[in-house]
Amino acid sequence: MIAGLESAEWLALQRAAFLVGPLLAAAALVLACRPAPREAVGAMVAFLWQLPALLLLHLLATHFHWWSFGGERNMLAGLPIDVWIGWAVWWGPVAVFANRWLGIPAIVGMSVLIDLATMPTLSPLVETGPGWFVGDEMTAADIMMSFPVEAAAARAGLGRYPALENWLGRIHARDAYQAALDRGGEYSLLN
Amino acid sequence: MNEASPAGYPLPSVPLRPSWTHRRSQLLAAMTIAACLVGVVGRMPVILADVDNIALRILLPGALGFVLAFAPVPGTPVGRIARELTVLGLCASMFAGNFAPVMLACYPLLLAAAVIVARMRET
Repeated sequence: MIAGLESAEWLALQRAAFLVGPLLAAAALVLACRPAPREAVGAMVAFLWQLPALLLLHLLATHFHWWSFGGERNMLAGLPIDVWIGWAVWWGPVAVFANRWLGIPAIVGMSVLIDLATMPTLSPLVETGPGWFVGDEMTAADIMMSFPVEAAAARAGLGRYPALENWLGRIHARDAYQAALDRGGEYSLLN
Repeated sequence: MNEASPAGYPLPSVPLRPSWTHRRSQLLAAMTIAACLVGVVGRMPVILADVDNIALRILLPGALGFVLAFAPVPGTPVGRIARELTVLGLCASMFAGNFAPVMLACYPLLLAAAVIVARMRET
Protein backbone atom coordinates (compact mmCIF):
# COMPACT_ATOMS: atom_id res chain seq x y z
CA MET A 1 0.00 0.00 0.00
CA ILE A 2 1.22 3.54 -0.74
CA ALA A 3 2.21 5.44 2.41
CA GLY A 4 -0.24 8.16 3.41
CA LEU A 5 -3.25 6.52 1.81
CA GLU A 6 -6.03 5.03 3.88
CA SER A 7 -7.12 1.46 3.13
CA ALA A 8 -10.40 2.62 1.52
CA GLU A 9 -8.55 5.09 -0.72
CA TRP A 10 -6.00 2.49 -1.81
CA LEU A 11 -8.81 0.00 -2.49
CA ALA A 12 -10.69 2.59 -4.59
CA LEU A 13 -7.52 3.36 -6.59
CA GLN A 14 -6.88 -0.34 -7.21
CA ARG A 15 -10.45 -0.91 -8.39
CA ALA A 16 -10.36 2.12 -10.68
CA ALA A 17 -7.01 0.98 -12.12
CA PHE A 18 -8.37 -2.51 -12.79
CA LEU A 19 -11.17 -0.97 -14.85
CA VAL A 20 -9.37 1.88 -16.59
CA GLY A 21 -6.11 -0.02 -17.31
CA PRO A 22 -7.64 -2.74 -19.52
CA LEU A 23 -9.93 -0.17 -21.18
CA LEU A 24 -6.90 1.96 -22.13
CA ALA A 25 -5.02 -1.12 -23.33
CA ALA A 26 -7.99 -2.12 -25.50
CA ALA A 27 -8.31 1.43 -26.87
CA ALA A 28 -4.58 1.56 -27.73
CA LEU A 29 -4.77 -1.81 -29.46
CA VAL A 30 -7.86 -0.73 -31.46
CA LEU A 31 -5.99 2.36 -32.67
CA ALA A 32 -2.92 0.26 -33.52
CA CYS A 33 -4.84 -2.60 -35.17
CA ARG A 34 -7.55 -0.70 -37.08
CA PRO A 35 -9.68 -3.86 -36.83
CA ALA A 36 -12.02 -5.06 -39.54
CA PRO A 37 -15.66 -5.69 -38.58
CA ARG A 38 -14.94 -9.39 -38.29
CA GLU A 39 -12.20 -8.75 -35.74
CA ALA A 40 -14.31 -6.22 -33.81
CA VAL A 41 -17.18 -8.71 -33.59
CA GLY A 42 -14.70 -11.32 -32.34
CA ALA A 43 -13.52 -8.94 -29.62
CA MET A 44 -17.09 -8.20 -28.56
CA VAL A 45 -18.02 -11.88 -28.42
CA ALA A 46 -14.84 -12.58 -26.43
CA PHE A 47 -15.84 -9.89 -23.92
CA LEU A 48 -19.38 -11.23 -23.56
CA TRP A 49 -18.06 -14.78 -23.20
CA GLN A 50 -15.60 -13.74 -20.50
CA LEU A 51 -18.31 -12.19 -18.29
CA PRO A 52 -20.02 -15.46 -17.29
CA ALA A 53 -16.76 -17.43 -17.49
CA LEU A 54 -14.97 -15.11 -15.05
CA LEU A 55 -17.97 -14.96 -12.74
CA LEU A 56 -17.99 -18.76 -12.63
CA LEU A 57 -14.23 -18.79 -11.98
CA HIS A 58 -14.71 -16.31 -9.15
CA LEU A 59 -17.48 -18.41 -7.59
CA LEU A 60 -15.22 -21.47 -7.74
CA ALA A 61 -12.32 -19.49 -6.27
CA THR A 62 -14.52 -18.26 -3.43
CA HIS A 63 -15.84 -21.75 -2.75
CA PHE A 64 -12.37 -23.29 -2.63
CA HIS A 65 -10.79 -20.27 -0.85
CA TRP A 66 -8.29 -19.56 -3.64
CA TRP A 67 -8.91 -15.83 -3.36
CA SER A 68 -11.52 -13.30 -2.32
CA PHE A 69 -12.07 -9.64 -3.10
CA GLY A 70 -12.37 -6.75 -0.68
CA GLY A 71 -14.90 -3.92 -1.02
CA GLU A 72 -18.46 -3.24 -0.06
CA ARG A 73 -20.13 -1.39 -2.93
CA ASN A 74 -20.74 -2.26 -6.59
CA MET A 75 -20.24 -5.97 -5.88
CA LEU A 76 -21.83 -9.05 -7.47
CA ALA A 77 -21.52 -12.25 -5.44
CA GLY A 78 -18.37 -10.89 -3.79
CA LEU A 79 -16.83 -9.81 -7.11
CA PRO A 80 -16.28 -6.05 -7.65
CA ILE A 81 -18.14 -5.14 -10.84
CA ASP A 82 -15.35 -2.81 -12.04
CA VAL A 83 -12.74 -5.54 -11.61
CA TRP A 84 -15.06 -7.99 -13.36
CA ILE A 85 -15.47 -5.71 -16.39
CA GLY A 86 -11.75 -4.84 -16.51
CA TRP A 87 -10.83 -8.52 -16.23
CA ALA A 88 -13.26 -9.40 -19.06
CA VAL A 89 -11.81 -6.63 -21.26
CA TRP A 90 -8.28 -7.94 -20.60
CA TRP A 91 -9.07 -11.57 -21.36
CA GLY A 92 -11.49 -10.63 -24.17
CA PRO A 93 -10.76 -7.70 -26.53
CA VAL A 94 -7.16 -7.15 -25.40
CA ALA A 95 -6.34 -10.83 -25.98
CA VAL A 96 -8.12 -10.83 -29.36
CA PHE A 97 -6.29 -7.73 -30.64
CA ALA A 98 -2.93 -8.82 -29.21
CA ASN A 99 -3.35 -12.03 -31.20
CA ARG A 100 -2.09 -10.09 -34.23
CA TRP A 101 1.43 -10.02 -32.81
CA LEU A 102 1.45 -12.79 -30.22
CA GLY A 103 0.07 -16.31 -30.47
CA ILE A 104 -2.72 -17.52 -28.22
CA PRO A 105 -0.34 -19.63 -26.03
CA ALA A 106 1.90 -16.59 -25.44
CA ILE A 107 -1.08 -14.36 -24.56
CA VAL A 108 -2.60 -16.91 -22.17
CA GLY A 109 0.80 -17.67 -20.61
CA MET A 110 1.67 -14.00 -20.10
CA SER A 111 -1.76 -13.15 -18.67
CA VAL A 112 -1.68 -16.10 -16.26
CA LEU A 113 1.86 -15.13 -15.18
CA ILE A 114 0.80 -11.51 -14.60
CA ASP A 115 -2.25 -12.69 -12.63
CA LEU A 116 -0.21 -15.07 -10.46
CA ALA A 117 2.59 -12.55 -9.87
CA THR A 118 0.38 -9.59 -8.99
CA MET A 119 -2.52 -11.15 -7.07
CA PRO A 120 -0.60 -11.80 -3.82
CA THR A 121 0.48 -8.13 -3.78
CA LEU A 122 -2.96 -6.63 -4.33
CA SER A 123 -4.25 -6.52 -0.78
CA PRO A 124 -6.76 -5.11 0.25
CA LEU A 125 -8.41 -5.64 -3.16
CA VAL A 126 -7.44 -9.31 -3.44
CA GLU A 127 -6.79 -11.69 -0.58
CA THR A 128 -5.22 -14.94 -1.73
CA GLY A 129 -4.88 -18.34 -0.14
CA PRO A 130 -6.36 -19.45 3.13
CA GLY A 131 -5.15 -16.45 5.14
CA TRP A 132 -5.58 -16.26 8.90
CA PHE A 133 -5.57 -13.26 11.19
CA VAL A 134 -1.83 -13.61 11.82
CA GLY A 135 0.20 -15.18 9.00
CA ASP A 136 -0.47 -18.35 7.05
CA GLU A 137 -1.12 -20.60 10.04
CA MET A 138 -4.08 -20.63 12.37
CA THR A 139 -3.13 -19.08 15.73
CA ALA A 140 -4.75 -18.14 19.03
CA ALA A 141 -5.72 -14.83 17.39
CA ASP A 142 -8.16 -16.70 15.14
CA ILE A 143 -9.68 -18.51 18.13
CA MET A 144 -10.02 -15.23 20.01
CA MET A 145 -11.63 -13.54 16.99
CA SER A 146 -13.99 -16.37 16.15
CA PHE A 147 -16.59 -15.44 18.77
CA PRO A 148 -17.07 -11.76 17.77
CA VAL A 149 -17.18 -12.71 14.10
CA GLU A 150 -19.70 -15.48 14.88
CA ALA A 151 -21.78 -12.90 16.73
CA ALA A 152 -21.54 -10.45 13.81
CA ALA A 153 -22.56 -13.20 11.38
CA ALA A 154 -25.54 -14.16 13.55
CA ARG A 155 -26.64 -10.57 14.09
CA ALA A 156 -26.09 -8.86 10.74
CA GLY A 157 -24.68 -11.49 8.36
CA LEU A 158 -21.34 -11.34 6.59
CA GLY A 159 -22.63 -11.17 3.02
CA ARG A 160 -20.88 -7.84 2.44
CA TYR A 161 -17.59 -9.08 3.86
CA PRO A 162 -16.57 -12.11 1.78
CA ALA A 163 -13.09 -12.35 3.34
CA LEU A 164 -14.56 -12.66 6.84
CA GLU A 165 -17.21 -15.04 5.55
CA ASN A 166 -14.49 -17.23 4.00
CA TRP A 167 -12.46 -17.10 7.18
CA LEU A 168 -15.44 -18.16 9.32
CA GLY A 169 -16.23 -20.94 6.85
CA ARG A 170 -12.68 -22.25 7.25
CA ILE A 171 -13.03 -22.16 11.03
CA HIS A 172 -16.26 -24.16 10.75
CA ALA A 173 -14.68 -26.64 8.35
CA ARG A 174 -11.87 -27.57 10.76
CA ASP A 175 -11.91 -31.13 12.08
CA ALA A 176 -11.40 -29.84 15.63
CA TYR A 177 -14.43 -27.55 15.30
CA GLN A 178 -16.56 -30.41 14.00
CA ALA A 179 -15.33 -32.70 16.79
CA ALA A 180 -16.31 -30.05 19.36
CA LEU A 181 -19.79 -29.82 17.84
CA ASP A 182 -20.10 -33.61 17.89
CA ARG A 183 -19.25 -33.67 21.58
CA GLY A 184 -21.08 -30.55 22.74
CA GLY A 185 -23.96 -30.41 20.26
CA GLU A 186 -25.08 -27.67 17.87
CA TYR A 187 -25.26 -24.13 19.17
CA SER A 188 -26.57 -20.84 17.87
CA LEU A 189 -25.85 -17.30 18.96
CA LEU A 190 -28.36 -14.54 19.77
CA ASN A 191 -31.39 -16.85 19.68
CA MET B 1 -7.65 -12.71 -37.49
CA ASN B 2 -6.37 -10.13 -39.94
CA GLU B 3 -6.77 -12.30 -43.02
CA ALA B 4 -9.60 -11.67 -45.48
CA SER B 5 -13.10 -12.69 -44.45
CA PRO B 6 -14.26 -16.06 -45.79
CA ALA B 7 -16.72 -16.25 -48.69
CA GLY B 8 -20.27 -15.57 -47.62
CA TYR B 9 -19.29 -13.67 -44.45
CA PRO B 10 -21.75 -10.76 -44.25
CA LEU B 11 -19.31 -8.07 -43.04
CA PRO B 12 -16.50 -6.57 -45.15
CA SER B 13 -12.84 -7.15 -44.30
CA VAL B 14 -11.85 -3.50 -44.69
CA PRO B 15 -10.74 -1.77 -41.45
CA LEU B 16 -13.40 0.07 -39.45
CA ARG B 17 -13.09 3.83 -39.88
CA PRO B 18 -14.34 6.17 -37.14
CA SER B 19 -16.83 8.76 -38.35
CA TRP B 20 -14.85 11.73 -37.01
CA THR B 21 -16.37 14.23 -39.46
CA HIS B 22 -20.01 13.08 -39.24
CA ARG B 23 -22.05 15.94 -37.77
CA ARG B 24 -24.44 13.78 -35.75
CA SER B 25 -21.56 11.71 -34.37
CA GLN B 26 -19.83 14.85 -33.20
CA LEU B 27 -23.05 15.98 -31.50
CA LEU B 28 -23.45 12.63 -29.74
CA ALA B 29 -19.81 12.67 -28.62
CA ALA B 30 -20.18 16.25 -27.32
CA MET B 31 -23.28 15.21 -25.38
CA THR B 32 -21.39 12.28 -23.87
CA ILE B 33 -18.49 14.49 -22.79
CA ALA B 34 -20.91 17.07 -21.36
CA ALA B 35 -22.74 14.34 -19.42
CA CYS B 36 -19.41 13.10 -18.03
CA LEU B 37 -18.44 16.58 -16.92
CA VAL B 38 -21.83 17.22 -15.31
CA GLY B 39 -21.64 13.82 -13.62
CA VAL B 40 -18.20 14.55 -12.17
CA VAL B 41 -19.16 18.10 -11.13
CA GLY B 42 -22.26 16.65 -9.43
CA ARG B 43 -19.97 14.54 -7.26
CA MET B 44 -17.77 17.44 -6.18
CA PRO B 45 -15.75 17.50 -4.03
CA VAL B 46 -14.25 14.31 -5.46
CA ILE B 47 -12.57 12.24 -2.76
CA LEU B 48 -9.97 9.57 -3.45
CA ALA B 49 -12.12 6.85 -1.88
CA ASP B 50 -14.78 7.52 -4.54
CA VAL B 51 -12.63 7.24 -7.69
CA ASP B 52 -13.69 3.63 -8.33
CA ASN B 53 -17.34 4.70 -8.21
CA ILE B 54 -16.65 7.54 -10.66
CA ALA B 55 -14.70 5.21 -12.97
CA LEU B 56 -17.50 2.64 -13.02
CA ARG B 57 -20.53 4.91 -13.09
CA ILE B 58 -19.28 7.86 -15.18
CA LEU B 59 -16.03 7.04 -16.99
CA LEU B 60 -17.11 3.61 -18.27
CA PRO B 61 -20.46 4.69 -19.77
CA GLY B 62 -18.76 7.85 -21.02
CA ALA B 63 -16.05 5.86 -22.80
CA LEU B 64 -18.61 3.48 -24.30
CA GLY B 65 -20.79 6.39 -25.43
CA PHE B 66 -17.82 8.21 -26.99
CA VAL B 67 -16.67 5.11 -28.89
CA LEU B 68 -20.20 4.36 -30.04
CA ALA B 69 -20.76 7.98 -31.10
CA PHE B 70 -17.78 7.82 -33.47
CA ALA B 71 -18.38 4.23 -34.58
CA PRO B 72 -18.99 3.85 -38.33
CA VAL B 73 -22.48 5.09 -39.16
CA PRO B 74 -24.80 2.07 -39.50
CA GLY B 75 -26.21 1.46 -42.95
CA THR B 76 -29.82 1.02 -41.86
CA PRO B 77 -32.23 3.47 -40.16
CA VAL B 78 -32.84 0.96 -37.34
CA GLY B 79 -29.09 0.75 -36.71
CA ARG B 80 -28.70 4.52 -36.71
CA ILE B 81 -31.63 5.05 -34.30
CA ALA B 82 -30.43 2.22 -32.02
CA ARG B 83 -26.95 3.73 -31.91
CA GLU B 84 -28.28 7.19 -31.02
CA LEU B 85 -30.68 5.85 -28.38
CA THR B 86 -27.88 3.74 -26.89
CA VAL B 87 -25.58 6.75 -26.57
CA LEU B 88 -28.42 8.75 -24.97
CA GLY B 89 -29.10 5.83 -22.61
CA LEU B 90 -25.43 5.70 -21.63
CA CYS B 91 -25.51 9.42 -20.88
CA ALA B 92 -28.65 8.95 -18.77
CA SER B 93 -27.13 5.99 -16.92
CA MET B 94 -24.49 8.31 -15.43
CA PHE B 95 -27.25 9.93 -13.39
CA ALA B 96 -29.30 6.79 -12.74
CA GLY B 97 -27.51 5.85 -9.50
CA ASN B 98 -28.70 2.47 -8.29
CA PHE B 99 -31.19 2.22 -11.17
CA ALA B 100 -28.34 1.70 -13.66
CA PRO B 101 -28.70 -2.14 -13.49
CA VAL B 102 -32.43 -1.73 -14.20
CA MET B 103 -31.59 0.40 -17.24
CA LEU B 104 -29.17 -2.29 -18.41
CA ALA B 105 -31.85 -4.95 -18.00
CA CYS B 106 -34.27 -2.79 -20.01
CA TYR B 107 -31.84 -2.38 -22.93
CA PRO B 108 -33.81 -4.81 -25.16
CA LEU B 109 -36.78 -2.44 -24.79
CA LEU B 110 -34.61 0.38 -26.16
CA LEU B 111 -33.71 -1.76 -29.18
CA ALA B 112 -37.39 -2.57 -29.67
CA ALA B 113 -38.13 1.15 -29.51
CA ALA B 114 -35.52 1.74 -32.23
CA VAL B 115 -37.29 -0.77 -34.49
CA ILE B 116 -40.69 0.82 -33.83
CA VAL B 117 -39.41 4.36 -34.47
CA ALA B 118 -37.71 3.26 -37.71
CA ARG B 119 -40.90 1.59 -38.94
CA MET B 120 -42.99 4.64 -38.05
CA ARG B 121 -40.60 6.81 -40.08
CA GLU B 122 -40.87 4.46 -43.07
CA THR B 123 -44.66 4.67 -43.15
